[in-house]
Amino acid sequence: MSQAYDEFCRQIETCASLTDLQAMGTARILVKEAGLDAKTATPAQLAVVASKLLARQLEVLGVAGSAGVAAKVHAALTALTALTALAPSSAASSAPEAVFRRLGGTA
Amino acid sequence: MTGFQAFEAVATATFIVMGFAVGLRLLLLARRTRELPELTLGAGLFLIVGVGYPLFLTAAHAPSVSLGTARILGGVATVVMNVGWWLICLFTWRVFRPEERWARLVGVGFGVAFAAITVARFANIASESDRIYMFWISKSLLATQFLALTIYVWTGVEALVCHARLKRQLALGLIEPVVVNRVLLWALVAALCFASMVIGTAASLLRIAPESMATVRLLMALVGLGCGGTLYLAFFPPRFYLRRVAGATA
Repeated sequence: MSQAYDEFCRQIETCASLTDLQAMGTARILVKEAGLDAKTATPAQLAVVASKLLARQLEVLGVAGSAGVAAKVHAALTALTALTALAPSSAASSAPEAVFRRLGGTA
Repeated sequence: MTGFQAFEAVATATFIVMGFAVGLRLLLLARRTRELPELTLGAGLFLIVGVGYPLFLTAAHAPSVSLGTARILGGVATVVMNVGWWLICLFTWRVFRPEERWARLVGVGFGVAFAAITVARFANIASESDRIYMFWISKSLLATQFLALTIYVWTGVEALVCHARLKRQLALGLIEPVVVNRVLLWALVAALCFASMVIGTAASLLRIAPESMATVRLLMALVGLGCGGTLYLAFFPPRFYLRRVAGATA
């Protein structure tokens, strides 16, 4: 799993007061729904997932204040995005989407 | 030259020129990035379409080429194209299934199979005195076509599965539309190469040399033209096409 994905799980667990298994399950559902790969997902991508999909999923789980929780997770991942911006992971650059971006000269 | 022959020549030339140009462009990219995917895909396209296919056509069809020269050209084309197909196989493995054990086995297995078939093709080319049996109707050629067909199916399926996943990213604005479109175009290239190979294989199984059948020739020319056009849109997209792709998802 990517470092960002692990952080995503940790943030969901902490901010939504879920068990680690619930948090991992939630993250897995969201990553699949977003068409991402947990091994190559970046903080920036997961920040978008947090802002667009997380609140709805937390509502399904009956988490109170799901919008606020999603905002906190989004903020944490945005901060991580800034920290890792200068050192993109090699796993992310070998994802099929990154390869096809390079092949077209749009990297 | 009849109108049909002119169309056939233009379609074949389009396919070869695009394969050559895209392959070269990706090889230059690989020199800069030092990444394996652009190296394998670039070298694969360059060898199969840009070098091997014209050599094969010359060996099989050019009336001015002697039998001895045809044997040499045919042998070189065999090596070049078989290496090219294996490189496409490596591209598919490393890009879409880099950590799967079965994909590694497929990649290595195809390498061994192509090496064995290359030897069989050499024996076939050396022993036959009729170009029809050398280049169109032979068991070793059928085996080569079967391997290449399998690679195109695998490549096309992986690209389609990847495209379905990337469409979900696109819905969230996580990826550029042109990248998603490029993956779909690559699946289409694989499908067209598959179609071209099926036509050749069917002709070979029916023991018909394609040059003797207008319908087969027309189909192969159309597929070649389509493949050249698809390679162009995928790897040298003109601005109007990029605008259209971006507009379709806006």
